[in-house]
Amino acid sequence: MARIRLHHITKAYGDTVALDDISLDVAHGELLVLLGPSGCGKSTLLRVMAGLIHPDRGGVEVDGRDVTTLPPRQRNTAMVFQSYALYPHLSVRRNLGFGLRAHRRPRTEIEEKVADVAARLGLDRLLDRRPRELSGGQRQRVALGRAMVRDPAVFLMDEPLSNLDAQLRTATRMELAALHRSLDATFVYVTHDQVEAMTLGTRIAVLDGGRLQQVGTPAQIYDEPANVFVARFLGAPPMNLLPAVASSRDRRVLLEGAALSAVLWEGEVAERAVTVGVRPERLRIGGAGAAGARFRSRVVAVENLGNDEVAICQAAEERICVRGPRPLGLRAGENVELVASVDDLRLFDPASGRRMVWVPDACDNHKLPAGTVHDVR
Amino acid sequence: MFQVTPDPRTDSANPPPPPRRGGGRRDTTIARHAVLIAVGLLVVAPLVWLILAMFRAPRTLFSESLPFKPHLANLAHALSELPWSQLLLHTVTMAIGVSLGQLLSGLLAAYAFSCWQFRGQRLLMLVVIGTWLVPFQVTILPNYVLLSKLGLLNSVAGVIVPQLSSTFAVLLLRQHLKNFPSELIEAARIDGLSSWSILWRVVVPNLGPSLAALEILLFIGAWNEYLWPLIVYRSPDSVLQVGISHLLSVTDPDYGALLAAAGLATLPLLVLYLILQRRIVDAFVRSGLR
Amino acid sequence: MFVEVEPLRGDLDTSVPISDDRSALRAGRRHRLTAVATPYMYLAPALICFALWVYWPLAQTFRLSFVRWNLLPTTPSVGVGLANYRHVLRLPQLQQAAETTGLYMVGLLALGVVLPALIAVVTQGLGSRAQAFYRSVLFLPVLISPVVAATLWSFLFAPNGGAVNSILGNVGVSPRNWLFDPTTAPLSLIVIAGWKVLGASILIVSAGLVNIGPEYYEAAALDGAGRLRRFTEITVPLLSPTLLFLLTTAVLVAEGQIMFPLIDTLTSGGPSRATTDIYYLLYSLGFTSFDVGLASAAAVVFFVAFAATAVPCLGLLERFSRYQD
Repeated sequence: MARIRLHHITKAYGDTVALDDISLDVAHGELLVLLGPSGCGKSTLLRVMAGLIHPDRGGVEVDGRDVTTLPPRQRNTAMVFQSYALYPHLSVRRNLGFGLRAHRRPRTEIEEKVADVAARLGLDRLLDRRPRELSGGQRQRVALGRAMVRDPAVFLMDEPLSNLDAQLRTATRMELAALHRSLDATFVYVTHDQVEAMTLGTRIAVLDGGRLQQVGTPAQIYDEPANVFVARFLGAPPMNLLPAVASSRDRRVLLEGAALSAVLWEGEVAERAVTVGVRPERLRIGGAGAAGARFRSRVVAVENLGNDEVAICQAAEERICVRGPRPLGLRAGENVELVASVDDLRLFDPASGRRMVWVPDACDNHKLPAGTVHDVR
Repeated sequence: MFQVTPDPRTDSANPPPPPRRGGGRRDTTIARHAVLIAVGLLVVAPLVWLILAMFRAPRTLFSESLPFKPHLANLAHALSELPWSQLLLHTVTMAIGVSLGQLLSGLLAAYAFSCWQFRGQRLLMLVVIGTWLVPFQVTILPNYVLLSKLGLLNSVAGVIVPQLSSTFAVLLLRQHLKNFPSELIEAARIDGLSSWSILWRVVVPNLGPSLAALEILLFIGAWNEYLWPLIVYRSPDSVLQVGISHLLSVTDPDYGALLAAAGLATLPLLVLYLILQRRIVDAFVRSGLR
Repeated sequence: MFVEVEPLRGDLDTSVPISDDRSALRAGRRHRLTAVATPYMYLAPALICFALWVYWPLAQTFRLSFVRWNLLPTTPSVGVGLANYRHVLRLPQLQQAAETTGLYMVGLLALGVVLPALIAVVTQGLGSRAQAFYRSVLFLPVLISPVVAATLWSFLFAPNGGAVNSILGNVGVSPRNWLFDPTTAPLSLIVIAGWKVLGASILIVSAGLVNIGPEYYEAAALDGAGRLRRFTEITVPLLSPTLLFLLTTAVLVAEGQIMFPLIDTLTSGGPSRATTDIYYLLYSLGFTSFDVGLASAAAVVFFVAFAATAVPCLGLLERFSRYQD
């Protein structure tokens, strides 16, 4: 059992705040992905959980026990490092058994566990080699094995796949997912790669600038981004974001922008600025009579991704991308009208960057009856 | 009908022509060699002269011919004029004691400086570097008084103790440790090692060659040390450098014996250098890069 | 109306405060205490050594500069205020020693920094095997102790039949007694010290040049920079930390560590004090005059002047090495 809870973790180095008041609750058996651009604090947060870095403020709790000030060796956690951090002077066998020896376990137990893990990971034949005699993928396995040997309650992984080439990365990713399913342990996984995050995570925590931006399942993070940062960080290409003005006419909410217009739902709203978001794959190339939001644009370039094509278009001052199966049937220089259904629009507050949902005016917004919230989906 | 697709490896564009060697490079290369050979001769000639003179007959010491028949009289003189077994024992003890002490204290200090962040870190670093601001000659008298109070005068221990830490060793090792992969240390902490075990079971085994090279540089330095023995242990049977300086300080020195003694005193270092040349020079050169 | 969504939706409960497991906390606090003390414990051996053999004696030197004492434990020391300093500043040897020190410094800069830098730049870019050979030759004088170098060169400088006289005799220079002539003795010592540092300095500058990396030169060549421009705009600035390091060691280390043993073993400061620099003056004041107060006052004066020269050097060096990271 291992449920990790972080309470208001704050860490600063001089004037730069690496972690800013982060609270997080990781359930037992989860695979929580910490996702964010480099320098967002995700590795620092992982090291706080490991006990390698002590927070300036806040606490770490594992299964109800406060471990904030405990050293790593008393935490029952194992870690897989980006560089693998295999001990270069030791054979694979001794690398695998290093942690157990440090904890003074009996030799027979160490040998048994090492053999067991080596067999599971297919390292049996490599046990007497040194790390530098191994390929990248083999090293990665040894790093994983070193963590598994100790049967930890928590696996901490710091970008474990980032040093592998693309093919191996995909294969290893699947093995990691299988490993997580088979082990009764909690995983916390740091990455900047959204594909890894989406495919591996039971939940994703998105960080930026030391702050938690959003926590949720992959679907929630992708479909219902909490703010502009999350919307822009995920997706390839990321969500299109355009400025517009929301107003109402004849009891209908409308959006008007330099190159877009949309008729939304019934309601009254004081005129206000909004940021309109729509995923590239949700845009269609308009024909006559298509309903929803319409974007008038001009194709600038078309990128061939093999299976799909991405057309980069200019809509007034903004760039807007559309993605679909190849061929899209667009050519550079062409004028095109792109259409999205109202359910695929996401609206953000331009000032705070946070996403907004529409609440029908009739309701008392303190006690929302279930089902009355018209989420913009 | 099937048609074979064209081989993608043959590009229709012409490959770029191979780059041409610039003309006139040979001349500059020769000039470079000439300069270095001249400097090399300047550096080596006195040493060659020393070795030749060692094997000349005492009467023909100043002649310029090659000593076709090596004479051993100078060596015999040198051996009889100095208490060699004493000198060697003292010098070896001092060089090993001093160099190992400097290596150890430097390693521990560098470990603290590069793997921790602590209060007063910058100040303590300045304390270490600041020792370079205090020339040996400024503190001779108080050091002499202190050593005599501790009863360490005229002993090898007295020569070793004041030299047990070296700013050079601290700075060089700090540089090495800063380049040491921090994830390796973190991995060892996760694996449950104390900082002391991490130092000995992870850091030291992986710094092996650098430590060995630094140890040799420190050993050479200690072997050649003259200042501390000069004030602590001035008798002719103290260490090699002092012993030779005694032979040199008489008004009409016996150059034959003196040169032979100087050669013998350098011989152990030369042997060491022959074996470990590349390591030693690399370590030395890197110490200047910082 | 629009409502902003809660950013942390989907998270589990973090509202319950952290539990209060006292025993774990106590263990943790103990750990934190030892963790705080750990780096200081690792520093202790080196720092104690420096304190005992550098800083404590330095403080003692300051204290002794205000007393009169003859080094004998049986006689008490008497406070004399600033008298020792007045005495030092009027010492006739002081000015001559300062001039000699300046001469040595110029010589060491020329033979230990400028000449090696020129040679290294000119010979830059030889193949690695040739370089390895030259390196192993140029390093040799580092192995030779100052005392052995003194022995060797006193033989070469010998007035009757020494190699220097006989070689110079071939080009018509009359023989001299190099080490016992007040005009040539300081220069002879500079030659010996220069012989000891020249090769090592060339090695260090060459390594600095190799460290610059060809991509800067390639980039500059693509930008159309000529040879001179590449030298002044790339080689010189990127080499400056290395040169500064050499300069600092020439100022801080070479004179006290290499020149001093040469003076002590070859000339004992003579003839007629022509080779006595400040270092040797301090040493001889301390060990021959038995006037501890005077020697200490001289040491303090010298220390202040030395530190005033060295601190800017070290400061610059520190700044430069930060540039490189």
